[in-house]
Amino acid sequence: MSKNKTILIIGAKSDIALAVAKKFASEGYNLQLAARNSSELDVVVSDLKIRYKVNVSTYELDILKYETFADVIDSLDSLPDIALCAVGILGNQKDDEKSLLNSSLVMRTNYEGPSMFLGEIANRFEKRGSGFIIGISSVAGDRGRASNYIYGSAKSGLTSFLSGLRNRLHKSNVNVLTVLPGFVETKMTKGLRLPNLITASPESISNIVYQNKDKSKAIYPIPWHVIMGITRNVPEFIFKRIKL
Amino acid sequence: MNELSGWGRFPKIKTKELTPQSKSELLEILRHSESYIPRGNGRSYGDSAINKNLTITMTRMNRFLQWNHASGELVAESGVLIADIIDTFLPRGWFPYVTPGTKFVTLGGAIACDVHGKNHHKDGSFGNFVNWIEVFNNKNEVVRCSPDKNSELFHWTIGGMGLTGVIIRCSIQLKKVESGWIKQQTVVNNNLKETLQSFYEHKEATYSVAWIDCLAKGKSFGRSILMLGEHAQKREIDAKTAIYPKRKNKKITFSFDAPSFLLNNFTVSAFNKLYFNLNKNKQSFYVDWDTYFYPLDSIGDWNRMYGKNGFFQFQCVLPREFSEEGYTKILSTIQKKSSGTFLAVLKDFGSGNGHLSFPKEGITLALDFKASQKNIEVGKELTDIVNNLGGSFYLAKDAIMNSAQFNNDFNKEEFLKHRNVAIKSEQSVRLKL
Repeated sequence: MSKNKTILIIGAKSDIALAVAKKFASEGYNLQLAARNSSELDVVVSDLKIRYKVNVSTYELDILKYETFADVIDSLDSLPDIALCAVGILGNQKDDEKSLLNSSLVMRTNYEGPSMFLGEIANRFEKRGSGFIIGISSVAGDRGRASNYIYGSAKSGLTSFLSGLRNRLHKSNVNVLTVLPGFVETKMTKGLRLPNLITASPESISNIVYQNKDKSKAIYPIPWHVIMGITRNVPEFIFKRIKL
Repeated sequence: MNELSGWGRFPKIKTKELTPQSKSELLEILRHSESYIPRGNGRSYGDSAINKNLTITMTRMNRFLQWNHASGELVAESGVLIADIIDTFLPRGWFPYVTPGTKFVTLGGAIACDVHGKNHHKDGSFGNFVNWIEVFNNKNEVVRCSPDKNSELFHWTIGGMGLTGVIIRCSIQLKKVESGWIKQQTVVNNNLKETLQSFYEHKEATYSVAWIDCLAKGKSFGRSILMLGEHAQKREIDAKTAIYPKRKNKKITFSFDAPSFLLNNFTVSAFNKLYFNLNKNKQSFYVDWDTYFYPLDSIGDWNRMYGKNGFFQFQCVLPREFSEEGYTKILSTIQKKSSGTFLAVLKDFGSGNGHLSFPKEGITLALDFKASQKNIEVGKELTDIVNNLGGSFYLAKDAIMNSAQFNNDFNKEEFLKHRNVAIKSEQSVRLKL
């Protein structure tokens, strides 16, 4: 048991975040949960405390308000061992491509906010000389597709940011893990028709995260590395004719 | 649209299914729906948790809200499973007071069906250990009811099949136990008379249930094995053994529907003989809680054993004085029609909670039948036998009765005062409840 260790989870209301919270709590980690309207987490907090007998604290965080990030981090009951970001919105490609405001919201929520917050955390970890950073990105960032390139481009930015951060912190004893899920059955994908065979549950993602928590690399849950390997390598003159 | 069924996989009905995650999301749905039924983990057997228009599955509202380690009081959302409760609280020395034969039921379902366990003769049913229930009632309000406050709503909600209102949260009392082991004792009964007598002789046992060989004929007619149990004390457990064992992994899982010819009179009869002979020489031994209370949970999706058309259960209770007569008729009917069943379980009930709750003083029998036209006819014949002797039926099992056959003794006028009419199940429509 890794008693006394702490994980900070940003975007804690998402289904993947909740599954991650349960997994780490079940392994004895104390939890710091940050989200917008964090009082909605009250029921979850009581459940996690009763079920796993760990400390759980909540923090109000709006990922679009980067001017508050330093204060939020200062207010944490301790600088965590692990910081995981599961913030994200899918948006609606068809509407968003006609609205600059919507596009901006999707880009800022998926790229700017998570990158800057994790960047700020990274500086603290670097100063301390230890820490693990985990970013939940998406395979949608591997190649822009007509059906979701606004979301995809923002995730692409996040993936690149994490890759650079990993590179920079290599010598500072701070690890950066990028998790690139494909389809996951969550609130975010509710109403979409997902192919059963390659759709993961939030629980399976949380298990993968837990197993790889101390790695410094980018990982795809099986079998997405194969699917995206192919997708990335389709020549452009063919790719632009495919409806994806 | 989803196709849903109960645990018996008969009948299967197309419906829209919603799975709210929070109380606010749930209330939003309830306030805008004209006809719906709440559903737990789908372990009632028939159609009592399906509404063609909208079925609201509560399994994602499964959070513990308060726990008092000194008193054993637990407050939780209604989608919490008994399995969750055992996983969490048994290692701390607490166990559910009453549990049905599967741990995969929700608290809401356990209250709505007022489920019973092997200790009914001593402790009564699940409702006896409910402190209060939060219900979305027939005035579209969220109210708390208990034996002291809104007590009529409380009593009609226990065993009320969800028809008085959606159960959102509840408070229940757990039982202090010294270990997760049960000291089991088996008693062989050679015929029906002995079987019924042995419940009386062992009425001091905390847990008792009889498995009955419903195909044995002649002087073995009604032979059974009575299984008694007591929570083992800490000092009975040897030092090398875990005091609170964890739940068992599933041994096997039915990942496909068994071909329907697999279950015939020959195989069922052979199984029953084997089961009887395997158990008759065991006398007293310790078993872990999972093996003792939930033997079928170790076989994943065992409901597929009956083939793709599914099966139905029949469970009734007969007053003690008519039990021998009634069960002689019922077993004879099954034998005459060759409608053998793997699982025939007999259990005595203490006094019940009244209202719509099923258990009441007497002897109860539960039988499985493969869903076929012939067996449905047999089920109807058994229903008439029970009705003629003043017995009652368990709605959590029923899939085949009509409203004329449903004669459970309750005050319908009073029930209707607490009825939330937006809530309808296929069963409540069928039985005009």
